[in-house]
Amino acid sequence: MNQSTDKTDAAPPSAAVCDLSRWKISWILFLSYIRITSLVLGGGYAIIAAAQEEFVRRRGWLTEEDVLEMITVTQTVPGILACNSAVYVGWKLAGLPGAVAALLGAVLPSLVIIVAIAAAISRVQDFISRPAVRGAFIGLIACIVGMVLATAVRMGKKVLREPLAYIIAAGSLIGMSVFRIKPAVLIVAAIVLGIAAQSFTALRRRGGAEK
Amino acid sequence: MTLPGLYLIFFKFGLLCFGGGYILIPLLQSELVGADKPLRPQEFADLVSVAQVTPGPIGINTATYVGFTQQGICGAVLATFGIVTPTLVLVILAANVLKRYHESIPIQGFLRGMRPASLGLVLAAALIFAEMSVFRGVIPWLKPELWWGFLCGVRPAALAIAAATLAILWKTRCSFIYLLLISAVLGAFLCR
Repeated sequence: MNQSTDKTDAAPPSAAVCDLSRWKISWILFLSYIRITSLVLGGGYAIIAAAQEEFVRRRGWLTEEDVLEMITVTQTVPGILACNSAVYVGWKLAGLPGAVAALLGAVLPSLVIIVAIAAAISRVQDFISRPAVRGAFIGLIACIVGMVLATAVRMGKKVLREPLAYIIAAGSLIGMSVFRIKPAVLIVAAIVLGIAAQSFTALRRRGGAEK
Repeated sequence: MTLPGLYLIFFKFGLLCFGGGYILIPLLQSELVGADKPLRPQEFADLVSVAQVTPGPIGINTATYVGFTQQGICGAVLATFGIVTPTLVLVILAANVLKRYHESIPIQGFLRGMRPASLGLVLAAALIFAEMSVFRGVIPWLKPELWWGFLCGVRPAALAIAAATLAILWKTRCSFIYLLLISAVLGAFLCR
């Protein structure tokens, strides 16, 4: 694992990317996504949190603002969350080659691991029901709770800037976890509310300008 | 199922899977599991349980696995490519629309509503992960009489791992990969 994390906060985030060619970036994206998806259990949100650690904090290739937009787009477009975010990150950093490289990196470990274990499923099931292995899974998932919360804290700083944002964030959290409403329904409701609020603001601004 | 058939049906799942992988499993179940369908219920249950404890996107793990049971390695590859093809096109399209019309009222409104909603959904995901690790089972939100008993079932070691991870990621630039590996080792001893 290379530990060249000397790209400090001082440099503007995109500067780290400017020095590299598209193909070089794509190659690094491919390898980074392989590393993330071959180690991170728990699917989409865990992989998004890991990608944020990798590309914002370690490499400084993306800003917090980029990640916020990445998560927003990822959840609005249909598809597997982890793959949506990989395509977005790849496209943002290196265009089409980057998008394809990140996507291939995100799916390759699954292909290899699943094909390798599919043949011996009963042995795999025995293995994962051992107490130590179950314990290791619980430890891993607990670590992912911390990772996803760290992502949420950083998002919160950027997002929670008006009362409406608090209402929508709380509404979607409670709607999903307490009342088990489908995410698709919550997403559509939030978009409708946002567009309504924005049109209202624009109208009022125009009204104010006329007076 | 034929190879082109596998690609096409997973392409369709890729388009329908709106709001993340949560919806994929019921979708697969209704289309692929049953007496006259390719998978038997027991086979499908095994497959889902393995897909969830394997690293990687759960949707991709499931697609790969279903493809493999139907047509071997070629099936696994085609099912996976099928489910990600719509993603590649739609995400790039969405990224461009967002960039081009960034200042327009609908896009500003979309972002104004969708950003906080994303935050809410990320927090809800953290709760789901907590239910799998820190807590024992699903939080009984609507049954206040069960809350105390539920809190007593918290796994202290898992809670400590989650809190330590949050604190370390917040304050340092430590790579998450080490945190994951250390957590797994700690969990194997402390979270039985």
